[in-house]
Amino acid sequence: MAKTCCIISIEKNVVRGVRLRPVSAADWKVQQVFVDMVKEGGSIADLLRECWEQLGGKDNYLVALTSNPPGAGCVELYVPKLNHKELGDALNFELQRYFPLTQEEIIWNYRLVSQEESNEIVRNRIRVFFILKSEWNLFLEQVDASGIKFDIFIYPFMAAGMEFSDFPICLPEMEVEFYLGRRDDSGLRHMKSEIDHGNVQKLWEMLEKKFSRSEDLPEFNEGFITCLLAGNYILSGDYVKNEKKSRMPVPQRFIPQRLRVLKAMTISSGAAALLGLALLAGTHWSQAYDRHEQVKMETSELTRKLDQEKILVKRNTLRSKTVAKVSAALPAQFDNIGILCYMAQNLPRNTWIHDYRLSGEKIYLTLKSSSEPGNTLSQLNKTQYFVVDNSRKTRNYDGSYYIFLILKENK
Amino acid sequence: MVIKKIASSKQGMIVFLACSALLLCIVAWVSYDELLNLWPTEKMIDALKVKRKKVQKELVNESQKNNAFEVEFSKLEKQDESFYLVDSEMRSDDFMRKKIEDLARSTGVVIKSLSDIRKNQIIKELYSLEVNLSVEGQTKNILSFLAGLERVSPKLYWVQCDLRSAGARNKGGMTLNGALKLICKESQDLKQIVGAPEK
Repeated sequence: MAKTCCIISIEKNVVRGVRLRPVSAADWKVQQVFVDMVKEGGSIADLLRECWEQLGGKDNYLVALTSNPPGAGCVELYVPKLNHKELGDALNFELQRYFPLTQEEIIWNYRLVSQEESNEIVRNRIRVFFILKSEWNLFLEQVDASGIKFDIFIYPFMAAGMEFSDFPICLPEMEVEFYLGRRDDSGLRHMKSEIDHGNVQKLWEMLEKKFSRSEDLPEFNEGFITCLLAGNYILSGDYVKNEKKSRMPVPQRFIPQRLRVLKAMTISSGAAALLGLALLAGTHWSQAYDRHEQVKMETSELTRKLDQEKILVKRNTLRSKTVAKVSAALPAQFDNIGILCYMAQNLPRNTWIHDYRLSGEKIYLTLKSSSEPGNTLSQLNKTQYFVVDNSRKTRNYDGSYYIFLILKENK
Repeated sequence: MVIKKIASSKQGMIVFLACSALLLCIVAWVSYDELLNLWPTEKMIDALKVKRKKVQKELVNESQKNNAFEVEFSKLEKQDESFYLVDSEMRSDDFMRKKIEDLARSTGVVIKSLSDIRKNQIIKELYSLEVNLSVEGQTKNILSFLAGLERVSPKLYWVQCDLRSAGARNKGGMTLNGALKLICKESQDLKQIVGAPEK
């Protein structure tokens, strides 16, 4: 259901306006009306402003302008079932049959009137509105001067749907001789120029039934047919079905800027969210990058040190071999006197040195004991002079023992 | 003119955008690694840490090799004073023979045999002299001889030393058979001879 809408009709020097509100699906109410003529020294723009004030116009109302500017008209055509773009191309070609103008010189749009099927062929009945571009711009200038914003422009005859197809549509605001009537037996309706006032009344009666009105409304008569016809078109939902196809290209500056705060807040929130995300991503990136760089730097420093060490090892390899060769040539340094003294002091009284032989890295020591040596030999290991590498003993026939020890340097 | 023509038509713009996107994709494909580096992932950081650990381990190994060499060299350096400097007034072999004979005389041991001195080149400017000897005497004298040899400077190293009782023919006496070694250097500075470790 459409919201409250203001429909303003501009015809020559008369401006009419109605404010409609759909109370329910079956009850559309006319809440306010306005009608006035341009007075001496005044202009359409002044009247438009006055009308807007009288109607109590608000930004959240749907605002429609309806008018029959010079150089405008409409025709009906049967066309095959095509998509919007294909139909546009076809109409660009077809319309040249109706008037000798180029595409650059006119603006046009269309609405679907009905869809018909004949001999299993589906065809669309469309009504095309066209206007000279120069005249359209002049019309917009008038509106621009008033400062009124509007959502849509509806050519009066474009608003008449199939429910009004039984009789010619004649509008009092139009040039008196123009009406929308059947052209031939095809059923298509075109703008025609014959006087047919009788149908104004019929159309008015039909529309009057559709709208209730406030008791206190001032003058409200057939003059508002155009407004009500456009209102009927918008509120019945036909407009919504045809909106994409039949919307006139109204420049952005004429369209009311609604929900500015909400839009601004949405944009700000979006921007803030984006900024937050960017900051979050930036922080994450910065931390990851710093950590990566630090580890990279440490690795590089370690690699540099490793290379230095490798060079040192390489350089020292020859010297190391030389030192090893010299060290190998140096005999083990045993303190012979020290070892002998230690033995003399620590051997049991029944044990004495039989043979002492130093050879290379080891000392081969033979001890003789007059009786079982026991575990006293283990005491020998507790010295700084040597470590016992190996020991064994043999018993002689006379009960004495030979003890063979191999000593190593205590490093 | 061409750019203006492209920009003015919808199809031209689409072709232009498609070409730009394709070019961007190619650049992204070619510079994939560089672009990845611009935003390092945890996986990349972990991989780098593993590499760092590996390098660290290798560095420790190499350092240990160098340290081992330094330790070995420092041990050798400590023995530098016990090497005979060839520039001295006396010839090294004469020094060796004289020290043994003087010590035997002073301690009262009898030199039973003293072999010819053998020379072994260890490295350039460093060689060793080795002599076999056999001495006999009372235990006390032999021990004095041994103690005297310990005090000789530059040092006479025992390569072999066999100490045993002289047996029945010399009761209370001892025989000492062995081989002594003297390390001789031809230059004052040991670092010059073997080469000090680089740091």
